[in-house]
Amino acid sequence: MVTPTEIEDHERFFRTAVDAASSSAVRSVLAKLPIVSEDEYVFDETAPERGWQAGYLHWYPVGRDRGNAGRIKLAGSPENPIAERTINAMEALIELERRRELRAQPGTDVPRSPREAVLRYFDLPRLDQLPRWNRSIRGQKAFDYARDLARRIRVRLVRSTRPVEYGVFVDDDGIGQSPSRLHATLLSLGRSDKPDKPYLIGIFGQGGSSGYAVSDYSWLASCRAPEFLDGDDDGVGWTVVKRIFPAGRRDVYWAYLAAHPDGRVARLKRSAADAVGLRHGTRLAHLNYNFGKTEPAATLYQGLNHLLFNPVLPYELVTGPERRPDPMWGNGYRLSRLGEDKKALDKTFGGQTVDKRTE
Amino acid sequence: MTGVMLDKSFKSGIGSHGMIEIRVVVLRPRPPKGSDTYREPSPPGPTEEEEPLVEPGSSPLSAYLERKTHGRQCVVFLVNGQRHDAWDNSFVSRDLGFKYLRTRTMIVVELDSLTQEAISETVQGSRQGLYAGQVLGAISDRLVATLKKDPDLLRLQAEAEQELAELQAGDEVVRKKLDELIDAHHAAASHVQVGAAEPGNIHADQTVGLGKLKRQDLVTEALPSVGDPGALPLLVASRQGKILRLRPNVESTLHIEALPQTAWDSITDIAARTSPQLEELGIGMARTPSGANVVLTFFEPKDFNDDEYPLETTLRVFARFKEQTDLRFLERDLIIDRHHPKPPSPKPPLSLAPSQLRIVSRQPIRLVPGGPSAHVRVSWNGADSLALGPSPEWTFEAYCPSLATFPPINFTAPCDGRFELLIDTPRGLLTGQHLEFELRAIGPDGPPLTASFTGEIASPPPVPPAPEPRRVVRAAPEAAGQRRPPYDLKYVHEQDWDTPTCWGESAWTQGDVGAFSEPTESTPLTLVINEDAEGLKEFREGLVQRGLDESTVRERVTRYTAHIAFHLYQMFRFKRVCLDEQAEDESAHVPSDDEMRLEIGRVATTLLKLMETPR
Repeated sequence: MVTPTEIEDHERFFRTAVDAASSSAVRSVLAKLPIVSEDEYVFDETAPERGWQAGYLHWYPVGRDRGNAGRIKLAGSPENPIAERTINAMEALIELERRRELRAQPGTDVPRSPREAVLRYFDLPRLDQLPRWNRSIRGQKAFDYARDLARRIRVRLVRSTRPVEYGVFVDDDGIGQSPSRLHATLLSLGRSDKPDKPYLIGIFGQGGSSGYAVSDYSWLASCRAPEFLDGDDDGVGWTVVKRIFPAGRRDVYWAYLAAHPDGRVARLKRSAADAVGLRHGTRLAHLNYNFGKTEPAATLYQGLNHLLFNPVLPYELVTGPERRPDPMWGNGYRLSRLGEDKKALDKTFGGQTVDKRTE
Repeated sequence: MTGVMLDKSFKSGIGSHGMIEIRVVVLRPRPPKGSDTYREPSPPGPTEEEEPLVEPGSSPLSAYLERKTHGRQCVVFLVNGQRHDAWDNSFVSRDLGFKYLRTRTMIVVELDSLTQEAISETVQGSRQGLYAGQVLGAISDRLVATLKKDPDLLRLQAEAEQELAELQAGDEVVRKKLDELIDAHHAAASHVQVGAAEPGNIHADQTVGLGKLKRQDLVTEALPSVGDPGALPLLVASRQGKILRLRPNVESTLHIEALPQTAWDSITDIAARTSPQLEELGIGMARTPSGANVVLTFFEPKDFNDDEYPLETTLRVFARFKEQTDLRFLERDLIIDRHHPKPPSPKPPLSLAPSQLRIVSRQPIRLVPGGPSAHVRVSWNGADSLALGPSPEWTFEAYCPSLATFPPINFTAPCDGRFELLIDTPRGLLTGQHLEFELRAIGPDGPPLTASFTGEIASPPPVPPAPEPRRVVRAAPEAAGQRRPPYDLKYVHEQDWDTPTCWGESAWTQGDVGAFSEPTESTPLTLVINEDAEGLKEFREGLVQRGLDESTVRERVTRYTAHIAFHLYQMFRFKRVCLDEQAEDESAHVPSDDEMRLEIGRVATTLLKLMETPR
């Protein structure tokens, strides 16, 4: 019986871990941990405990699949993985509200779409309609209310020097995952629990993982909202993801630090999460992010607004220490509010049905 | 601040694949500097100035594309608000035919209401593009069917064409030089394409024309009741109306063609005359590949008395075809008057407790069985937000008490208290039949607001009768000379830089030396030269500082301008060849506007360097 590997001095460790904004900082964090090298422990899907060394952390394939590269290397442009992570964050917020609803009123009908869920749980209209929404929402002006809501998802671009590299952080105040479920959710591939939840956005259960492929290291930490632990352990789960080049092979894959042969990640006490102000939700970072030749601070705002053209929820983007957070509404909103003084026409044709086309 | 000219959405079914919602947004070109434009208070939210600094791109849409310099992804496909695919502006230009709107049009296609099967066929796990299968093909068909004949887009396209037509025309010296270059080029090269892309086979040095008036037999397009039967060919104009309206000091173009089109090559003489003659009215004629443009400008004298407007005259275009004894002619009435722009109407006061609902469209509404949707304009005094969102406080419903089986009636989303009903009239109804309709706006409390209107079943518009040649007796002229360039040459100056005529509809900058606009059905290939481009300005100033003779300065600037125009002409031809290649091989590269912008910039630099170098 293998017991999960523990990390000592939780609070101090976690403070350092979530501060890691560069690949060298992550390497420093890893250097202090008992880790079996990737060449020593070779994952065997049929017997993952084979070669496992008790008391150590091991590099464990994301999705329990050494052939995971094909499902992780999906990013066509630098902004795509960030958009996917942002979508995940929106889903975490919606899921938290859905669970609260079910606790208050068991059996309530499931929202039929993400937009319906957002309207039901946040009273928020489509963002491209917000500029014309002259009713207040929950006692606030619609825009002010939505602006507050945007603070629950924070996308940050952090530039490190010597060497110069960028880190992308995506933080949300959503439902989070318990340490014992992290490997089966955020670190799984294609094992989505979303298909039976029409109010969530993703379908394939792997979009967010594309961020691993465009960064040297990724770390993630998640803490479940205490009222929805469903019998799982409380606390915060933490791990690091990196690319593995197996010796003598050309099938690169991505692996994370696991604390148990079943794939569980290291669990830290809730006090560690409290120490960094993480009540519930997920923090993740993709470090030494490969932005190619683009200057991300200048292009991220525009790129994300195009990718998340009319997102179901707003979010914040921080592109530099000198700039305050920009609320991100998507280009649908930006076009709606743009130059209303000069609009020649603005109309929405709703609900037109067209018979099946015949050749 | 960039303005929006068009922002409308459609929700269209695509048969068994479910529904899509289409939103089309057309931005205005940037207003001229210092213009006193009407401006309303901005809605809540950050102002554009508060957004992160976005480098100005080449078009008003630049800030809304993924990349301002590389991204042309102006047709976006969204699932739950997330972009899953995007097409570039060639869809707007080629598939929809709105060339002049292509760099300022954004089309947003929401796929959320597609069926599960359709979503699963098209949506890819990578979000890097939709699968180009049957569903995407059907979506593309739907987009084209919905937008291609959209009256607002057609209107904006026509306005953009007008912007181009109103630029200052190139001077005759440069045109002559350019003609020489083009003629020399064609003498040494085979035509790459026939039809609209080519200048036709009448050489630029061929003199044609007509002279003194003389009463004679003429053949024109007319109703059977006019004159005696005549024979083809005929002269026909692109504009169907009998009246042409001109604004003072603004160029207007009437495109003339032959019917049948192939007869155009057999024209030996062509001329345009007005009666009564107006001294201030300039008439030019420019050959296009398939016809000619009659260019009309009324040059208003400085001391002109406004009370003299409107001025009226009749334009007649005469042509002689080979082996035809009778001249052909067409006629249009010209009305010259000042343009009086209508000030923007004030927005009506809207209430959270609406009390009025009114049909605005004139009745009876014309309903064409099986035809396009009839749009019935409605106004109410409710705030837009009352009827927005999936669970609005107020809803609209409309039905036809006269015909219980009438298909469901849809609505556009209200905007400033106005919206439209979209009525799809089923086939099988009798022409002339009247149908009553009831509209209800249902709110949370109190009785609904109601309005009614009448529709009349109309037969589909009759197919216009085939033009019939008729022989009439009129005074018509005899011989003179006329040059026939296969293009139109325009100049743009700094004060016009904000006109959206640089590579389609971008604003000009000091770095832009020239651009071309492709020919359309109503405009020829237009070569536009930036007279105030930085390099040319410095070159001119340099020549003046060197104390060169005025004629030398003029000659060199003419040489530069003609060569730049000639290179633009060649770029246009090259692009046509590339497009043909691409039609056969999708991987063939077609130069983008940005690439062509850079190319003509390099050519200008080389030319200027060459001319600065002492011989």
